[in-house]
Amino acid sequence: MRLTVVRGPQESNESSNGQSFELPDLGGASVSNVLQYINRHIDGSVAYYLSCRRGLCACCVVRIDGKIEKACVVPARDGMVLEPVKQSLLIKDTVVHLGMPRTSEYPLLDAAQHLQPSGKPGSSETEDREKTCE
Amino acid sequence: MEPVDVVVVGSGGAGLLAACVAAEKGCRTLLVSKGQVARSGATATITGDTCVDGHTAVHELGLKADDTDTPESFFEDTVAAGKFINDQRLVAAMVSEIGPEVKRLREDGLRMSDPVLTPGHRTARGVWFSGMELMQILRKRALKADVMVREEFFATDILTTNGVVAALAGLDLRSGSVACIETRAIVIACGGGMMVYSVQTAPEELTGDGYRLALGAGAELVDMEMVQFLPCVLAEPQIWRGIQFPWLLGPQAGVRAWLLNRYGERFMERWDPERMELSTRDVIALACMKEVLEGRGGPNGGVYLSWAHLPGNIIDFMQDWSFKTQMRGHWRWEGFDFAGLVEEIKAGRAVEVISGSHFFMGGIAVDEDCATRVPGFFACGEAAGGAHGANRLSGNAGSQILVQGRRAGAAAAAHAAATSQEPVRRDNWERVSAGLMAPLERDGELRPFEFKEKVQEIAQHQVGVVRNGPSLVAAGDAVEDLRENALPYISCRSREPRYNKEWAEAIECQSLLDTLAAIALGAAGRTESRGAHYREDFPMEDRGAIPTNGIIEWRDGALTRSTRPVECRHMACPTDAA
Repeated sequence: MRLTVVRGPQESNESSNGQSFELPDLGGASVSNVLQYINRHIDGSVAYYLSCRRGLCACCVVRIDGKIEKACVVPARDGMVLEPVKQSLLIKDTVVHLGMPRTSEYPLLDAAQHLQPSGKPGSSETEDREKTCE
Repeated sequence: MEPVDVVVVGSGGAGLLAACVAAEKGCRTLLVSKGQVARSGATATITGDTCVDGHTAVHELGLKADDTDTPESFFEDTVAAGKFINDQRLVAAMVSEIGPEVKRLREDGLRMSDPVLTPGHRTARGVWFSGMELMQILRKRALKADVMVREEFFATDILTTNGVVAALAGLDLRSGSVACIETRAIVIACGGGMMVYSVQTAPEELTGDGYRLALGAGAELVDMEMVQFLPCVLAEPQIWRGIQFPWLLGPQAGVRAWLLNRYGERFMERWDPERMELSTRDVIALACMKEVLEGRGGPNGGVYLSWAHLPGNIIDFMQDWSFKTQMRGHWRWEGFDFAGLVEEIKAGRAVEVISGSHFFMGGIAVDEDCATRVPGFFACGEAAGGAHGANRLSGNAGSQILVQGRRAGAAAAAHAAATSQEPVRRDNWERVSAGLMAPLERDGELRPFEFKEKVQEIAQHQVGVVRNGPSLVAAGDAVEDLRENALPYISCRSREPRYNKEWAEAIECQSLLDTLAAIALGAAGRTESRGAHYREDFPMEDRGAIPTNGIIEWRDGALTRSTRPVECRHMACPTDAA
C-alpha cells in the first residue's frame, strides 16, 4: 500500500510537500493506525494526533483525498492522499488546533531560558537559601 | 515567566471542572493537557450513564426515577460493589454532591435523559448524557472564567522544595521544549493507565502519567492492583480493536448471545450456571481469560461470541428497543457502521472477543478534599484512587469526576491563597530537564513503541485478568530488568524537537513502567481475590479480618508496598471474625 502525507507547515510556497510512504499490509488498519505506523517504523518526524480511536473526540480529523474525515474510523486504502483540514489551524503535518481559542494560551519560555543561571528557576537567591537551609 | 496560582493537569471532565472552580475563586489558573482541551481523555468516551440517587433525580433534576432511593442506598451499593475497600469518605462525598453538580450542568444546557438501571445498583441511577457534550459545556465555563491553557503539554514531574509543591515540569510538544511552570498548587486529573495493557477501551493518551507524577513527588498510590476489564470487545480488525459493539449487542442488552471456546463449549456453565453470559463483567472477563490461558481460545487471544442460535429478526428487533438510544434504525455505534458485521452475525458467524482494560479503581491516594500527603498536590477523577474500592459500578465514574473535580479545584484554590510560592531548586530542574531531553539526544536502537510493546506484553499476560504468585514475581523481575536495561536506552528516530510524537512516547515509557510496577507490586502483595483482582493461588476473599488497602510509594530508591486497614466510617465491613 502506498500513501501520501502532505507535510507542513511549508517553509516556502514552492511545490507541494507531499511525501509518499510504502507500507506493508497492516490488516484492517485505520488511517490513524497507518499514520502511527509511519511515525513509529518509517519516519519519526511525521506528526499525527490520536486519542479516542472511535470517532468521538474528532481531533484526528484530516483531509483524505479532499474530503474531511476522522482518521481513526476510516479504513486505510491504497493511494490515499492526506492533508491537514485547514492551513490556518495547522500545527504540524496532519495535526490541527481544535482546542481552546489562542487568546487563552499561556505563553511558555523555552528550556534554554530556564537553564540560564540568571533566569528562573534556580536564582542565586534560591541557592543561598538552600545553603542556609542545609 | 510569571508564576500561576494553580495548575491543573488533564482536560477531561475532572480537570476542566477543577480549573473552572479554581479560576472562579479568583486564582490565576492554568490548565495543561497532553491532548487538546475537551477533545482528549476518557471523558470523551462517556456515551452513557452518570449516577445520581433516585430521590435527587426526581426532585432536583425533574427526571423519572425511583423517589424512594436515597444517597445512603447509593452509598451502600457502591461500597458493597467495591468489596468494602472503598475510602468511605470519598464515596460519601460522591453520592451526596453529584446531584447538585448534574443540576448545574443541566442549567448550562447539558441534554440528559431518565436514569437507566445497570447491574449492582438497586434501582435506576444512570442519568444519560454524552461526555463530549459535557466537556463542551465545561470548556465554555473555562473560557468565561479566564482559565489559561497550554495544550499538548505533557506534564511529567512535580518539582518540590522542602517537600512542598513549587513547580510543574514537562514536555511542551508543540514548541518542542522542556519547560517548568512555577505554581503553588497542582491538581492531577489525567486519568488512568489503561494503555499499560495491549487491549484497551480507553483513549490513547491514558498512559498512567498521573501515577508517575505522584510517585515522583512523594505521594502514595492506593490499591493499584484493582484494574477493571471490559469483556467482549472486538479483537480484530485493528481499526475495531477494543470497541464494545459485541458486548452491546449481547450481554449488555440482556440478549442471550453465547460465549464459546474453540471447541464450541459454552464455558460460562462452569462459572455462573444460572446467569451464564448475563453474569457480572468481572466474572465474564475472568472466565474468558481462563479459557484462553488454558488453551481453548481463538486465534487472536480471545473467545467467541455467537448469536447463531437466534433468529435474525430477533437481532433486527434490537434496533427498536436496545437501551443504547444512539442506535435506532441503524447499526452505527460511535464512529463506526457495524451493519456488515451484523449481517455476518445473522449469517451465523461467531465474533472473536477479548477483554480490554477499561478503568483503574486504584490511583493516587487522596483525602475527601482530594489532597495527597504532599502540600499543594491534589488529585481527582480516575487518577485518584479509593472511591470505587475493588470494583466500580457502571455510571460511578461520571459521578466521581464531577464531584472530585469541584472539590479538588476548591481545595487547590484555598491552598494557593494560604501559601506563598516556594523557589524552584535548580538541581531538581536540571535533573528533570536532562531526563526529558535524553531520549531525543541519545543514540540507540530501542524505539519507544518497542518498549511500550514489552510493557504491554508483561501486563497483559502476567498482571491481567488472571494472576498468580509466580507470574507476579516474574512481572516484578521483568519490570526491574526494563528499568535498568531498557528505559535508559530508549531513543528517538527523529531529532526534530517540534511536535515529536516519538519523543512524547519515549517519555510515556516511564509512566507505563511505573504503572506496571505499581500494579504488579500491589497484586503480589494482595494474597486474596477481591473484586477485579483475581489470584489463582488465592481464589477466595480474605474475610478473616478488616480488609486492607495496599499503599505504594517510593522509599529509599525502591517502590515499596505497605497495608492499612480500611476505615469503616459509615458502613461496617463484613468479616467472619465479627
